Amino acid sequence: MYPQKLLWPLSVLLIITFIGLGLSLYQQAVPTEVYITYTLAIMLVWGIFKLLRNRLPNSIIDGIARLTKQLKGFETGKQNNLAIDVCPRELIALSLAINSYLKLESDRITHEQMFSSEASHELRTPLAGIRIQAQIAQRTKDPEQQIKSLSNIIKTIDRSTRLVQQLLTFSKLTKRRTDAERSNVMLSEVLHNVIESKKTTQEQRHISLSLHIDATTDSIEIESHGDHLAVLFDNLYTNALNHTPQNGVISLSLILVGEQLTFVIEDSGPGIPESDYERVVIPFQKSQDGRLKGSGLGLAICDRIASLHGGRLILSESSELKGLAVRTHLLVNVASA
Amino acid sequence: MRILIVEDDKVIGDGLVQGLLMDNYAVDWVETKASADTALRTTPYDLLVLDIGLPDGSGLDILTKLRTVKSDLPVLILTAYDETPHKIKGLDSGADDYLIKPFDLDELRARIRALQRRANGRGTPLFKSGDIELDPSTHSVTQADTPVKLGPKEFAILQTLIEKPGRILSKAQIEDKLYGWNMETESNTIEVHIHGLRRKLGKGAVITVRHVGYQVPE
Repeated sequence: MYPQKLLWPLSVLLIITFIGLGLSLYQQAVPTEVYITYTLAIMLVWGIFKLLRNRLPNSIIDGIARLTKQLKGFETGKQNNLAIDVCPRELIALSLAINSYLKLESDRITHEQMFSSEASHELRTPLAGIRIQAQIAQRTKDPEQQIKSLSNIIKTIDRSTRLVQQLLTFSKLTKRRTDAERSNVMLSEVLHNVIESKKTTQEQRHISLSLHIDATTDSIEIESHGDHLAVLFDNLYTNALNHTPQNGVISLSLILVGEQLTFVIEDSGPGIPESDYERVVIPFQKSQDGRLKGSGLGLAICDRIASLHGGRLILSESSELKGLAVRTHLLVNVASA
Repeated sequence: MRILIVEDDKVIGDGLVQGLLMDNYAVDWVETKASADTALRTTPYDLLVLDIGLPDGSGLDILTKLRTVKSDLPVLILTAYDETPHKIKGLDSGADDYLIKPFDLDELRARIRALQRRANGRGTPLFKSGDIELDPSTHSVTQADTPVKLGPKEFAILQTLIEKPGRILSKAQIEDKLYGWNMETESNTIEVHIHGLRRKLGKGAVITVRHVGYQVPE
């Protein structure tokens, strides 16, 4: 029981006593001083009450001071967890909540450090390629070798430009967006646009496309940010095109089950080993056998976009085409469906 | 001197091959851990240039394996992982040197020469046999302080022999150190070049040890 909880009954009791006292004195027609004393006494009690009410018990005040001191200590990096045992009972829940937030924060920092380390590795590799090829071009007396080195340099610059673009896309996906940027997007339309933009590559390589969109999925809309879904479709479709041999097949389907929409893309390419299904969606983790080339960010971007839409990416072997099958689950806003 | 390059990036791998060929090394290039294992089992190398992030695993595994079988092969790690803990791990796994991408081709060449020197138990950058001196950094040979002009293969053969004067190398061993997988050799090439060396440096410069091979005097 906190001491201040006693104050109310105590004050009421006092007031009643004074009123009783006043009334009994009134009958005896007492002088004015008594009334003044009476009023002053009530004001005094009220003042004391007010003063006590604004004060927390000392144990809590000390507890907060200790918490503040500990939190300030984090800035120096000496410590990253609040000590629960020295904390007053009333502040345990708060300390635990702060600790779990701190854990989240330190996980995020570790994650970011790993990401930057990998990103730096990925950027240094093409730079090394450009540098050594430039040195070869400088030294060689063979004009053919010079042309070869220069074209290697250009290819590598293009490759790193794609990597930089993907890094930017990925980092934008981690930022919180305002709701103002949300809008309803018609999935089939986005998908058709992506297919159209890659038509030249598809036709040049004689890859046949089988599209499975029915009347319901054709008109389905999904709440999304800007071009996220276009990026998702584009990455997955480009991957499929890159890994499907000439005269191969790519199949694209939109399937609606309840509130969950699934985008399935399958190809007749070589696929990836089952042991790599989980790995390849992690940033910069490529397939063990080295078959998946590229920045190592494409599938990570897709997975992040899917998670922003309440879904995820699931990789498997295509039962029909024997290559890779990627299923993207997305939550549909029922109202707009 | 024969070098194995383990590098999965095609542009860097190609650059390394072209760059090291300029120094007349025999260069072989593999892109995976598995093929590096095979190459190291089947071919005698004098140096290994090793990338860490390989598609089928870490290059450090190759290094650890080499050191467990007590191989002294000089290993230079060439990697884009630039943080100190990575360097420490690489060197402690048995690497002799560590170079970070992007790197300077000339620096790599100098480091390779330094590793080669150490492997032959020497500190001085010049090789000597009698009055003949060979400077691998400038590709120059002098005899009694007079410059002698040698062809690239003659230079490579002389360098192979002069690295350890007195050591006898068979024709096949010299060929192994001079030619990578993709370079064709004719059966009498070595003899032709040895003949050339003797013509330019005098009969005693290269000694034939009958039925065994060649050496340069100590």
